[in-house]
Amino acid sequence: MNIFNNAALLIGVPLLFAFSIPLFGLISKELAKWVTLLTIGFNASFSFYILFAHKYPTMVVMGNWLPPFGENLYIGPVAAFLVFVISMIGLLIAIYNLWAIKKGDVIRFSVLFLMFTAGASGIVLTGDIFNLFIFMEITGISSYALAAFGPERRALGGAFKFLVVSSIGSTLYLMGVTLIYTQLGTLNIAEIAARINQTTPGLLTFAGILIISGLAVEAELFPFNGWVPDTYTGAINGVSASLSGIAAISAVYALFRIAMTVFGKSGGAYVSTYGKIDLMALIALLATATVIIGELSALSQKNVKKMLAYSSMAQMGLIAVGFSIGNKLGVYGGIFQLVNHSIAKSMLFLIVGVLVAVGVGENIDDFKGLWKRNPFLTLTFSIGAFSMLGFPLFGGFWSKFSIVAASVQRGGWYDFIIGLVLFASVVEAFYYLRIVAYMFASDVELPKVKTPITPAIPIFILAVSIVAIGIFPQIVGTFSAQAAGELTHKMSGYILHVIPSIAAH
Amino acid sequence: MRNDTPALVKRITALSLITILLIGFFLAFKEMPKGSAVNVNQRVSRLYVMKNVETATKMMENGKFFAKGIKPLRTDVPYTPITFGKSKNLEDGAANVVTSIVVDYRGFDTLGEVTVLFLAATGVAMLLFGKEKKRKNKTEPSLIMYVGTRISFAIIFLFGIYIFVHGHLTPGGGFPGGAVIASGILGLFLGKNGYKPNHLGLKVFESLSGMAFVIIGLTGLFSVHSFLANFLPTGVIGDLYSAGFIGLIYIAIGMKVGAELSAVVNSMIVDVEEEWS
Repeated sequence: MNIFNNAALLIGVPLLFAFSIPLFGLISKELAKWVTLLTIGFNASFSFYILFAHKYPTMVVMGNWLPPFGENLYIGPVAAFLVFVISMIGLLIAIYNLWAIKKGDVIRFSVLFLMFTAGASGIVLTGDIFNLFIFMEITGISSYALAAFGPERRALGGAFKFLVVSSIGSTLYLMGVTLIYTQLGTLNIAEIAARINQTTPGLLTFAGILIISGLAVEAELFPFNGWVPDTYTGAINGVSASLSGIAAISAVYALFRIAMTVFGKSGGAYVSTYGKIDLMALIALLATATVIIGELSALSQKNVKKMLAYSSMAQMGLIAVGFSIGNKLGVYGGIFQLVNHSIAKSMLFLIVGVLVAVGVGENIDDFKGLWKRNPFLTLTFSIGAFSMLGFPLFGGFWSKFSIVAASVQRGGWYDFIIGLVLFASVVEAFYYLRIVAYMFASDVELPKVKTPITPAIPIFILAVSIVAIGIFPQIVGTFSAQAAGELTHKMSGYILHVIPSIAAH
Repeated sequence: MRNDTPALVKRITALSLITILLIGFFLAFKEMPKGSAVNVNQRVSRLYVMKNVETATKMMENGKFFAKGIKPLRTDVPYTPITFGKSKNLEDGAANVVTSIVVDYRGFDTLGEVTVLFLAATGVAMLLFGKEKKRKNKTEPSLIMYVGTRISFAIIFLFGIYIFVHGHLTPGGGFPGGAVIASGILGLFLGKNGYKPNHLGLKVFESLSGMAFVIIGLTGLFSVHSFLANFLPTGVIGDLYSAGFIGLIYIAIGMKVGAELSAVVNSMIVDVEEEWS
């Protein structure tokens, strides 16, 4: 057991500054945005230090009570890597917000954005099933408010849908946690995971279904994702980018931490779960439905933001398919795809944001002839689209390739699933390439537009990282391979690092 | 009493009313059980409040209260009897077992809950920012309402402070205490049309009390090397100055919740103009 208590600063420092931003706001509005930027910058550099210079897996003990008596944060390969990705994307979006957020209640927006990022990191870090709920609420409440920010009325409708669906989801999750608590009397993830087979199978299955449905709301899986298109379209673009880039990571993490570590059986080539039905198979079915419905709906959209929203839904389905295969290669592909999706999708939303602000518009027809009007945004948009499709030499290629390879390895009914997913990818290729073709091939003569410098910085960094991951996949690959090892081996990867003395049951 | 009553008479009446109420309040306050004087045997769950593990163990052995098969979970820890008002240097030291779980063992969750409330209040204020609230012309509240809310405000405020200061001894704590304080401020709104609290003061107070919570946590990190760890002695169980940092945290929570709920009420009622910069 390797304890590194200073990592509590990853949560403590953002909280301290979130509470103090109203005081900084008394001095100037700009200062509030800069405090957010610097605090997320602190998180990014600290998680960089943990990832590259500190020994992990390690653990943070809260309040000097060792687990399972108190609460703890667990920083394994998954958490160390995902917190770094979340903080980096948060940092880049904060740079974009310096330019984009000028009107309205800037100070409170900064508070909410900071806590949104910190809450997403908290979900990934925590080692306690109820603490996970608290961080879900922190991320959730700040994202409803962020989604409603802005001058447009459509933002309110989207945010309200999100609020209602997500509140029901958190209630379901809490009911599931309560059922588990009545059975085992503990809330610590490691202890629950070690003793999960001591529960009544029927009750365990019911608790599992409740928890999975609750988490599937944030993870955008099929019957629970009705909020996605309206919320993403209505919100201002910086918020849509952070919803698809930051909240998606924490949601997928929470879903599969519960499904694989808490409910999963240890041993065996493919992870399956305790209870009367296999939750991994259930998630695979939901995810396949999500991919197909998302891609087909995206095809018919005229609005680029709405198209990106449906595409985001479909990508989350693909990620969940990758995880649900349950062997090391599948989880590796899932995490890799998760990172690629976050980078590419948040970049696409930021580009749309710039285009709307400079007066181009957000409909597909407005993109005609963009190459002659603004080469920089056209090139970066194409890079993002190619990464989404999984073209070779772009980030998305490697992850999609390993998901397909893992499905073929598993065989059985996964052959059928991957057939459907590949069919959906063809549809995806069609609508992304349509926009790329419009941008390069149309002969519409319109005045040129300039790119503002501040938002160009994050867009440029994200585009470069997509190409870099495409050429050197080991940048992400090494970390996601370690992370896949943690998720597929629950005893040696998680439980024994948190409670070394616990006996396997 | 009517509107044309001289101001002096109004003041004297109000003053005497306050005095009577305060005397009554303090008389009631005096009757409340003091820490060491609580007769635990006649009150709720003896085993929990007394934390008398020895008696509990004996009862288990006799099969009097529990089934015979149940054994204490841990045999390596010596069971020492814990008595209200006497035992010192306990593991946690709070007389109220809910408090010791909420603030000490699972203090990180409570920090999160405070943040959730803060974010909800921030979100409400952000959504209502710059929007004019349509209001019908309401009738002016009667004088009884005006005087009554102002008198009861002081008492409600005091009672809220009492609840959160005694959070580690009695059922209650920061969240109920803060809600009681905010209800007093809501009374002020009801008592007078166009009442505006000191908005800036509320903001500063809210920020400082939230920061105080995190700073207490960070003090734990730097002195005991664990975030939100107790860095103060736990004292004698049942005393006001006991249970280490629980009292401090509950004071911070109480002030924060009070200021925050008042700010929510304020942002729903008062038109906020561009307030900063």
